[in-house]
Amino acid sequence: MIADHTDALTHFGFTVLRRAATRQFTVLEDVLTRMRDETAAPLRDDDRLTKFHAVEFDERMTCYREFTALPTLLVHTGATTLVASDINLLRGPSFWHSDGFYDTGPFLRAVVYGEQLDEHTGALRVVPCSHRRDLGWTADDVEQLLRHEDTVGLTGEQVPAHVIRCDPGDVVVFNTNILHSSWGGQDRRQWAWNFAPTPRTPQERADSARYLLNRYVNATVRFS
Amino acid sequence: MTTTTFNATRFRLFGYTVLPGALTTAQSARVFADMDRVMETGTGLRGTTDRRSVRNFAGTSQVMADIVTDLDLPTIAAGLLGDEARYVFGDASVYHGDTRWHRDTRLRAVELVKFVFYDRALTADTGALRILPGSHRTPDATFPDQAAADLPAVALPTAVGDIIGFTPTALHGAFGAALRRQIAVTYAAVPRDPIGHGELAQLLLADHTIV
Repeated sequence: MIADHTDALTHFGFTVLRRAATRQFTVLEDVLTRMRDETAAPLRDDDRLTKFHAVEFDERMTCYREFTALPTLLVHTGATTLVASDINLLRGPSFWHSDGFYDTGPFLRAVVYGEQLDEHTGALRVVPCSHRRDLGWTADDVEQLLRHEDTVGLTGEQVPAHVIRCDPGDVVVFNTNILHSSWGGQDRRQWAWNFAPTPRTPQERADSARYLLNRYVNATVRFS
Repeated sequence: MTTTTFNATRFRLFGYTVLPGALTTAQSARVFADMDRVMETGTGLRGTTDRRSVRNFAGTSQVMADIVTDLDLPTIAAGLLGDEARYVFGDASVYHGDTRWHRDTRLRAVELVKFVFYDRALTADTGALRILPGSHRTPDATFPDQAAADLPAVALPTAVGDIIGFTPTALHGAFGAALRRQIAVTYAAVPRDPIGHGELAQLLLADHTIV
């Protein structure tokens, strides 16, 4: 079971732990309600609301430790250190992007959505295998995909990709190198945690530092 | 950018492109009727109950030759491959059921495009071709054994007359246990080095009718 999820993460760049957060879902909803209550600004039509440092904001966000199979999966991948957490109220599409590309890692993001999502309602889409350079996705390929309308004449939702349909309580785990996006969605709630391995070499330390910085200062990270 | 350029970039980037409505309904009806005629004679027929194929149908059927000429398929192939293209082989097949995930070849030095079209409209659940986009660039890569629904591929639903051009090194399959007839024609870019020539010879000499 865990081996299957580890394989999927390694080979395709993502996996879904079905119903892994069902027992904690009410707690997550309560945390999000508190966030809304404490945030004065209403969302504009094209806006999204993000609460960084979600675990520090509300200790109940540490409930990810109790998600079925997630801790074991993190141990299997080596990405055992929580490096960021956020809560999001998402609205509208999230364009094709990667949360940065790192040859070290894996840098993983575990996400719970508050709504049932499919291709019409803003489910996460990924280009399978695009998280690994050795699976053929060169920088030039990625650059062409990101300019999809100019290069291949396809809209964002027409780009060949896998739609990760999910229900509230499912935990989507993906390698943040992967090309991902979301189309067709309106308001949706999201709780997320980012994990990294403990860096041991200079390159790993540099990548970890860059990854952490990018979570907060790089506009390419869109929290989809 | 033109449609031709878009198709070439899609083919290079994802390993496939779709040419919607490339064949007229009449052309499609004629060529599949000819395929039936050849199958009834039993000439060159290979296969099992799951898949029966007429080897080199594209090289021997006059109806298919007319379609290749009308569409100027070699020029389309050259556009996708980015180089002069040569006919390699082309089968006509009747499928019953799934094909499982597979690559037709793992050769790297010879560049191929395989055109396929079907006698009926197909959806993901009735035998439409599914491809793992981008997988053509690493033909040696292996993936865990996956059931039809578990491999994150893209299904390519087609209407009668649509032609899919894909690189046979891409990981692909079809699921849904539906009866369908398929005609496939494969072209190769003229090789530029001895390794490519060797691989092309290997392809030309092999019997590509999967039985």
